[in-house]
Parts: sequence; structure tokens; C-alpha cells
Amino acid sequence: MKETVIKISLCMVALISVAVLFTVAAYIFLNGMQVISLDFLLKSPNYAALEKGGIFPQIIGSLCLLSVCLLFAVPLGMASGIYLAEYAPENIITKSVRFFVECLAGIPSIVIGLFGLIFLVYYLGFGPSMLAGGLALGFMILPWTVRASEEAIKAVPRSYREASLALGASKWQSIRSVVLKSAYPGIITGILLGAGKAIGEAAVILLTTGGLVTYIPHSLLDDVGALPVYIYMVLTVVPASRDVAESYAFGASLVLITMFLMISVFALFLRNRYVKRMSGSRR
Amino acid sequence: MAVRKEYIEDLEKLKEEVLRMGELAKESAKNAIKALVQRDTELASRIIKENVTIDELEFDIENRCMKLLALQQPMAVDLRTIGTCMKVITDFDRISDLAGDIAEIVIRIADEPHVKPLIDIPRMSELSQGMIADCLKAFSSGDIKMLEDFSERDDVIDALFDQVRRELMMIMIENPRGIANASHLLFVALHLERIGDHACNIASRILYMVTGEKRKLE
Amino acid sequence: MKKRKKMGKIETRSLNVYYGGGAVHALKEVNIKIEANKITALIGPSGCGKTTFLRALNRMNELNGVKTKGEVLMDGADIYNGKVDVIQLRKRIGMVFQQPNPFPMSIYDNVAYGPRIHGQKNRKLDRIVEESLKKAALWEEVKDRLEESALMFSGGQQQRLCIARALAVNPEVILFDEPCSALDPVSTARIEALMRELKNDYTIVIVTHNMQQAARVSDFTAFFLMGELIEFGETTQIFERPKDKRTEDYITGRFG
Repeated sequence: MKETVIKISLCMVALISVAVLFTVAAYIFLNGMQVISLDFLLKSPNYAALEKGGIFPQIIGSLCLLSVCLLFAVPLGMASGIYLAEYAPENIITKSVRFFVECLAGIPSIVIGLFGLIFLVYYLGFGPSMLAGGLALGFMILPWTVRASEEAIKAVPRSYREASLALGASKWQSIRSVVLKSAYPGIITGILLGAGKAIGEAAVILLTTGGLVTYIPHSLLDDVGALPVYIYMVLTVVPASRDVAESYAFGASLVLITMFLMISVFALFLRNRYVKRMSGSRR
Repeated sequence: MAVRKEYIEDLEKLKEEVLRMGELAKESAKNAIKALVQRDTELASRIIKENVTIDELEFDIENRCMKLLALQQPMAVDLRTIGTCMKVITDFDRISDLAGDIAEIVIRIADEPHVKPLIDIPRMSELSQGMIADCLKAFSSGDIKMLEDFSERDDVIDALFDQVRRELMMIMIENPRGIANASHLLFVALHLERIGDHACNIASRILYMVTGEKRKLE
Repeated sequence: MKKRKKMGKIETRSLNVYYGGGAVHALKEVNIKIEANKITALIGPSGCGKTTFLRALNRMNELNGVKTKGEVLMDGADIYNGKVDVIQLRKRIGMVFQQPNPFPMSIYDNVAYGPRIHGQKNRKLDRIVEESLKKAALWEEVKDRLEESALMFSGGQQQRLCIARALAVNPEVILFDEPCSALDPVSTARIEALMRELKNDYTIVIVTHNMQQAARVSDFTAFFLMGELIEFGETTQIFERPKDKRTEDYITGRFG
């Protein structure tokens, strides 16, 4: 009897969580849907008259920033993860490295944005650009890629390594051919987490890229637009009536969330294909 | 707590039973000659009945051995012990059968006078009794020194048998009316000689059990 | 893969192994001569050093931060000599582990892993995979399922796959670390039969907790106790007439 009560209570609490999610999603959807149109998606923004513009450069910009961010954080994160999991001796230095990486995760994003502004934008002279924004985002999500890589590699059973070594493979061959392959699903999940944070991050992008952008970037040093920045701008700086501003903000949010979902699905698809590849043959 | 406590206890029980069977067989052999000398047909009948008990004991011991082999995977000295047990009970059984045969002869010739005085036959019996007793001692203690000279002791029994045979043959030639009795006595001597051989078999098995060496004592 | 001649004789001289920075003396002055093309079983209670000894033969001990002193000679040459390439050594001395540990890949990729690592080109791989699986008595069961994941198969099949995988690199010696302890009796019997077949072409050393298995399968048996080699001899002699009382006590289960 007690078991049933507990089961039902937990079920209801779970349903509440789901309800919250649905409420938020529905709200955004309903409010943003009215703005979505082909024009909206394919035109450049018109900040003087929002209704006449769209968010195309912001979409492209967000993707560009994400790409730069991942290009930085993924190789670096994986390499660090491999080192920490496989090569680093368990001493105070290694423990410190791990600690510092964790600290990086704790730095508020606005502070990272500030660092990006002072160091990347001014000191290195990149200016507000895709490069500055992407790198700053990379710094931000680096702890997640490092952690995910290290944990995924550590989770690979020791027996695989032993078996590989016993066959006369070197340590690196074993890592490359067996350990990494088994760790990829976990690593991809970690990257996905990072990507999710990066794509929706407003503070960092605000400080390292331009604000009212209307064009698509042509180079790394070009200014770049991003959906979170657009949303912020529309709600604070752009001259428009409140209703119009809000609905356009919702519209951009909807697009942002949809983009994130598509990336997640793609990543999961990659992951499952990888898992299947581990059972498939490479002839 | 000892590991494999029940197994060790079962092994000990097995050895006890084998010793018991050996004692019974030895007693039967001794009593058979005693009955012959004293013309005691009652004793002889008892010996024949005792045979049944001894047969049942052999059957029971064999079952114990098979059970231990099947269930306990005995190794080394335990394995040799069980193998030895299975073999020596056959010899003990044969000894008691031979004692029974002697007992039957006793019953048959009880009323007749013996054609010759019984001297060598009781001597043969004493010697074989000694050999069986030493086997049982060695089996229970593991001390095999007393088994070393079994070949020689069996030779003595064989020599006595030859002597008895020759004497009885002479009697049969000289005194045709005594042929029946003489041939019975000849059989008794033959059975005693066989008992001696069985004692040798038992001794070589026990030697193997203790040392792992396979040596035939003739 | 050609039929081999008698190779894979192993001898250890004064082999000592230490764990934990010298704190634990796991193997003490082990001197043993392992014959080529025979099955040698290593028995003894838990912690006696038999697995440590096995892993000393293909230098897998080095993965655990272990110090080794003394010599391990394979066909006369010390494998602990600084100039020896461990990678090449492990090609000559293969290992099969207690828990079947096929890679999370297809059967084909598992068997082809070793040859591929050593640079074998794709053309020959098909043949090597087939021959190895045949030698491991697994070919008939999997020949139409080579692309399926190894993890889909039963424990016994996985273990035979691990054996095929080890055979694919053409070793001279195969070390088995309690290969059947995770398997059911039927699979165990098959692998024992397989080992008897394999000894014609390879030298086999097997660590086993199961004395009956050692008795069934091996030509020679070595009894270890607390890091020392107590007795070594033909299996028949060890199990029928052990010379050392400690061996006898272990074999008859008198060990308390």
C-alpha cells in the first residue's frame, strides 16, 4: 500500500516538472508563432521598423559563433580529457589541473564576457567579432568538454585496454582504436551540453560582438549577429512598441529553441550511428 | 573449522569399515582351521553364515567408495586410498570365501579320522594370520615397514604347501582308502596357500596407497 | 599461417616480483622451465602469485607499477632486457582473460584488430579472420554473422572469439588467465577441448582455480603458495603422488 502511494506521489511530481516544461514551451510557441514567416527567417533586421525585417543574419551568426566555439573547445577539451584520463599521473599537479578546470566552470558568464571584451576584443585587437565571440564562448564551455571527455574515457572498461595491449598494441593505438571509440557517445553528450549553453548565451556574446547587426559576416574578424543579442536588443534598445518588440523577441526565441533542438537531434543521431558503427563492420 | 570436514570424516569411516571387514575375514580364516583341528561343526556353520555378513559389507564399502569418487573428486593420497579400499575388499572377500570353503570341508569330514596329524596346516594358517594382521596394522597406521618381507613370508607358506602336498600324495598312493580324506586336506592346504597370496596382494595395494609406488609382492 | 615448429619454450631464473614500490614481495625466486607445445597449469590458493607469474611472462605486470627482478627467457632470450620491444613481445605471447572482453565492434573487426594494428593490409585480413575463427572452433557458428556486434554473443562464444583474436597475431605462446571461470560447464568443456587442439601449434600456460580442470587439461602442473613455486611436475605425478606435503594438502582440500 505504501509503495503505491509513493509511486503515485512521485509520478505526480514528475508530471509537474513536465507541465512546467510544457507551459514554458507552449507560451513561447504561441507568442512567437505569429511572427514566424518566410520573410522573418530570411530577411535582415530592420531596427527602425521591426515588422519589416527578419533575423536571418542572427541565425547565421549564431551558427558561426557556435562553430568557432566548438572548433576551439572540442579538440582542446578532448585532448585534455585524454591526457587527464590516460596519461596524467595521480599527483598534486594533476589534481590542481582538474580543480582549475572546475573553477573555470564556476566563473559567471558575464565575467567571461568581460574577459573576452578586455582581452580578445581590445588587447588582442580582434574587435567585436566572430573570433572574439566564438573564443569567449569556447572558454566558457571548455570545462564541459574536458569533463565529459575525461569521464567518458574513464568509463571505458579497463578490460578493453588490457585486451588491446595484450595483442601488442601501443598505448596510443589502444586509446585511438578502442577507448576513444567506446567513449564517443559520452563525449558527444558532453559536447552537446556545451553547445546548448553556448548557443543561448547572451552575456558573453553581448560583450564580444556587435549589437545591432544587419549583415552576414564574411570573415572571422567581422562583426556578427546572434539570436540572444537580438532578443536583448529588441527588448531594450530598439524603438518599437512593447507588443511588437515582445512578439519579435518571442519569435527569435522560438527560432533559437528550434535550432537547439535540431542540433540535439543531430547529435543524438550521430551518437546512435556511432553506437551502431561499433557493432557494424568496416570492410 | 576444518575445511571438507564431512569428506574427511567419510574417508575415516571408509577406512574403519575396511578394517572391520579385514578383521572379520581374518577371524573367519582363523576359526576355519580351529574348527578343523577341533572338529567343531557348529563353528564351521557359523563361519559359513558369517560369509553373508562379509559379502554385504563388501557391497556397502564399494558403494561408499563410488559415492566418494563421484561427489568429492578425491586427489593424491585420498584417491589412492579409495582405489586401494576398492581392491582390498575383493581380496578380503575372497579370503572369507576360502574360509567358508574350508568350513564346508570341516563339516564333511568331521566324523572321519585324519589321515595324518595336522601340523603343517595349522602352521600355514598361523603364518597367513600374521600376514593379514600386519596388513591391517599397516593400513591403519601407514607404517609399511612390516610389509617389506611379505615376499619371503609367502614363500614360506608356499614351501609348506609343497610339503603338505607331497606328504598327502604319498599317503594317497600308499593308502587308497584314505584318498577321500587326504584330498579334502589337500584342498584345505590349497585354500590356505591362496589366502597367503591374497595377503600379498593386499600388502602391495597398501604399499601403493602409502607411497604411490606400484610394486608387486609375490 | 604456417604450421609451426617447436618454439615458445619459456624459462624463468630467480624471478622476483614486487608490488607497491617494493612493499609486497609477490613472487619469490621462481625457477621454472615451461615446455614448448605443452599445456602447463598454474594452481594455488588465492593470492599465491600464479596470476602475477602469468602476467610476468608477457610483461603485462608493468601496467600495474610492478618491479621485476630476475630473468624470463623465451627461447633463450631475456624478455626483460632493455632492448626488447614490448609490443613485439606481446605479438609472440598472447593472452586470454578471465572475463571474456571482446571489443565493442563486429566479430570481424575484433579478430582483425591485432593484424590491423600491426600493419596488415586489407586483402589478407579476410583469410586471417577466417583461419583464426576456425582454429578457435567458432567459424561455423559465426561465418554468416561476422558483421554483428561481438557483444551479442554468448559468454562461451565471446571467449572463443577472444581466443581467435589472440590467434590472429600468430603468437608462439598463449597465456590463459582462468579462461573458464565465467562460463558454464558446456562452454568450459569446449574450451578445454580447444586448448588440447591448440597445444599442437602453441605453447599454453593456464592459470586455474579449478583443480579438476588442471588435472583434465594440462601436461604439467605448477603449484604456487605465497609467492613461491612449491612443486612442478607432470600432472599425473602431481595429482596422484605429490612430493610436497603442502601440495598434497592443497590438492586434497585439507587447506584450512
